[in-house]
Amino acid sequence: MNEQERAAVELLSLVGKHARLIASAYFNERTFPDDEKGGQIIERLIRARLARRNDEHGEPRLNSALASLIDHGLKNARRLQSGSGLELMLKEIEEKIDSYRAARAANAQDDALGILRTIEEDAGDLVEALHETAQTIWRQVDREFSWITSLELKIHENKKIIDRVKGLLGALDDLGPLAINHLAGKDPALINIFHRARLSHVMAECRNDISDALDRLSQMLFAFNETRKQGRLIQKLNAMYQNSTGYLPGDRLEAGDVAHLLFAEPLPLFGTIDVEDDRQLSLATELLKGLRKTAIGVEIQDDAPPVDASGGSPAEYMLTENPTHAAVDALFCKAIDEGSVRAMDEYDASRCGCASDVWLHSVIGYREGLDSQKRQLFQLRFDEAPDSSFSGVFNVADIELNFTLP
Amino acid sequence: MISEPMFRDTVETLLAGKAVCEYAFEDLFHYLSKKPQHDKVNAHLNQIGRKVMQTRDGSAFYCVFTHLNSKQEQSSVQKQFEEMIRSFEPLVGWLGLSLSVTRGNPIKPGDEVKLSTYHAAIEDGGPVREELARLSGMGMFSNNQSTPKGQVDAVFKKLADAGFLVLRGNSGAKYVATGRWAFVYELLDIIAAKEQLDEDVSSDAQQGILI
Repeated sequence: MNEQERAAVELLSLVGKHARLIASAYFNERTFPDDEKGGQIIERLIRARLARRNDEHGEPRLNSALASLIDHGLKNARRLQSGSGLELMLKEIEEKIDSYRAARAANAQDDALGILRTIEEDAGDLVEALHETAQTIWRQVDREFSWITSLELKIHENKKIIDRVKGLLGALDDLGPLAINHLAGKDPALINIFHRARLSHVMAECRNDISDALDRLSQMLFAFNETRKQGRLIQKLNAMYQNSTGYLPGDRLEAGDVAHLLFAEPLPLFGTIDVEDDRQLSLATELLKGLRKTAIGVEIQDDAPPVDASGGSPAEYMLTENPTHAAVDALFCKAIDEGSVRAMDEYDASRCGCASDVWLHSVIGYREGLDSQKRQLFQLRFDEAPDSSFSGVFNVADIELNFTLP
Repeated sequence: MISEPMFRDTVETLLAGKAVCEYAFEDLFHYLSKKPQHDKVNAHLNQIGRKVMQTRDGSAFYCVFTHLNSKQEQSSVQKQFEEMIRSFEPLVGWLGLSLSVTRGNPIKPGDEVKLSTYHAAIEDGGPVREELARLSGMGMFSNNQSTPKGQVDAVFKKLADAGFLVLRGNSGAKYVATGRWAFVYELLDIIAAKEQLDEDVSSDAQQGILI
């Protein structure tokens, strides 16, 4: 620690040691209590320039620098409080404006100027406090109460902040631009101060900001309450299950009530796999067996030929153990030979074993799976029939597959 | 060889009866979230009497029949409905147990669900253990584990197998809840309305609107 740091520590220790006495002087118009006035402590404070006498026999008073420091600290502390902090700050400005007007009325120009300077400082502080308040609220909103784990506490905290924000909004409404204009009146110096501090503008901005924050908080509270409602429903239903043996909500429900939640029956999967060599081929075959077993509960029989080399590129094989895929492949080959085929004409002959809608879907899916160059060679024309439910929906009844060279 | 693997994967995943959510199928979910791609998949599925649906909370896409035309389709849906009702009790039981572990927060799609949290909860108290033992003898959670820890592990595995949880990371202990839970909550709301359970719990929920 260097000498200056040591001096600073000593100074602060002295302030800390006599904090009560200093605070008492601060709140007693900067003068010390009578019983301390001639004491050693005051002399020490004077030596440390924390207090001063105007002349040798004058009354000891708190040094103005220390008083300003306390002043500033108290303002900050107040600013951290809720909307009442802002109200207090404005109240203070209001009081100082009264003093300023009184000083001007008494022709005490120096005093008026001094007060004007403090009003300017206070207006700056108020602007800063407004920004800070909006930012603090938004920081809390953005964190969405993630620092709290309990749902009930989240709701409680949310409500608390909503109350605070509503209080702030009320205060800002009271302090609005009209109130500022009213405070400044026609005094050009005051108008100038408030204009320079952009007080009206900042107030309006802050009001908008915290009004948006209130919306977000309300939405969050709604979501929290919905979540709480779900939790309560879970508990209630759970209790019903436990208290009434054999309770089944299905007794009162029908499939139609939840039709929108019921998945369409899964369709068998098929596809193609590119393999580089025999090792990959056997691995892919094993994988496919496992996949089919878990996906559709069907295991490929070991004696069934698992793969069929496509015969084209030496590095590319196609797994064709799915009869539908093989049949669709054959259909496309036939289209190449004959130029045009109808899917349903080939359906029976294909003996693919799938339902007719699956067959048609497979034809469409096969074409979608081709690369764009190949896909352009095949065109689909759908024969559609209106759905039996008269819903305006048309179902594909057949597909004409046409092959044309560009 | 395949020009649009995302289209194919999305259609196949939907047709395989899976719920496409951000947490289990992130790429497919984002693919389906874009309108032109959603429309393309939907148009494709429409041709075979199916369509894409999205859960009310928007957390998952899935495939449903546009109309129940054949007896096969009707019976498939009926079977699924019965299974849904059967598996609802253990799922609601698990959600109830989880409420005490998560301090009142019902599990939602996207929530991180840690095995360690549940292990700690069974260390703490009897009611959680008892409920866990009850669930371990029930339907989809049925298992032969004799210790509470083993039962927790088994239930997590069953939830993952059923698509309600997906593993995150390599530890094998951190899961994320999938969009499957959205179906449970929708069904819960439907049942609550039928059973008139929601009358006395809904007033609070309105509070947010009134502010």
